[in-house]
Amino acid sequence: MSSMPCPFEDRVHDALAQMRAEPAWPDVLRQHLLECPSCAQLAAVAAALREERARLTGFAPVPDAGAVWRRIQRRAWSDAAAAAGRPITFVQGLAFAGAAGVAGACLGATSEWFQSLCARGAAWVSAVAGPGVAAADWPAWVMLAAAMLVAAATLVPVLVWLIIASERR
Amino acid sequence: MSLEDAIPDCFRPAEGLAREAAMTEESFRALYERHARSLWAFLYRMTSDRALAEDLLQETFYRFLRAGASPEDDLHARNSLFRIAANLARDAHRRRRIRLLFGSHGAGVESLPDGSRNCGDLRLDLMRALGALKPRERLMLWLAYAEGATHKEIAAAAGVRESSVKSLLSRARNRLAALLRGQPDKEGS
Repeated sequence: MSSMPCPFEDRVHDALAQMRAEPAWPDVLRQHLLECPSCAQLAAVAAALREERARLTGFAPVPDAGAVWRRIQRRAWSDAAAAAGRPITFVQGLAFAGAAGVAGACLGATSEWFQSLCARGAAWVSAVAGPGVAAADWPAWVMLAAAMLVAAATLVPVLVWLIIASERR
Repeated sequence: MSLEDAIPDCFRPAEGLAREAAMTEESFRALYERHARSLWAFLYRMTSDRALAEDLLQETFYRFLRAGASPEDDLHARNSLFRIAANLARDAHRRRRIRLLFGSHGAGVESLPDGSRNCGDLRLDLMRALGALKPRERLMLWLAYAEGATHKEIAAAAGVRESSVKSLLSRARNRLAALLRGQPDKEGS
């Protein structure tokens, strides 16, 4: 088929748009459809899609308008309540993060087990980086890996929570 | 000071909700009766999933009301509804692709609704051919030829420039026609 659009195409398109009110081709276009394969194809595709639409709308299992209205009202109120509760959730999150930070600091300052774990970790990294290398002199890739590990441990749970929350919505 | 004044702002309904309250159940019913079936048909053709089409239909009306669109101008309301439905169908398609990517298939894609068991081969071919098109092509063809939308309306719903609609439609139509003729699909979906 020619890639050049037929000059009648727009007229065929307009006629199709008006056909719901008057389902018949004007004489000029009817003659043209017999001669132009491009417009004939357009008319055939449109006819098939219209027929499909008529079939689907004929049995469309749409829920009752009243039930949808009530569901929408409930949803709107619950969304409004959730929006109103968002600042509270934010403050709760801040409080939780603060408490976790304080608990972590206390653990770091008082727990022998935690300090020995840190010392062992430092010793392992020093062994990997080379004997006698202080933490400040660790190679960049070790620092980068450690930073990525910490970032992943922080971000992954947040991302998982966000994905689950968006799926539930 | 009235009780209404004493309610803190954060417990007042959002602006959209206030507008929703302005729409009565009666006017919603009228709007719904006019457009729900054609919207469902559109959503079903976009998703090939009956339950999903129903969910998206309700979501479409919810978002329409939340956006505060006026139900008085019927043509405007219809365009808004189809634009919202098109966006929802596109999002649903993306989510389905992500699920398939991670191996979770979720709800299966239906091949045919109940009412079409006695259809002829042509209808089956049409559904298969539509399913083989890209979502945007399917959307544009449906809006143009099943719904009789103008190029401007199609551009708004499909998120393309109005000047591109004609050529994109023509390409989509050629692909659909080729698929219906049983010719191998060169582009794939």
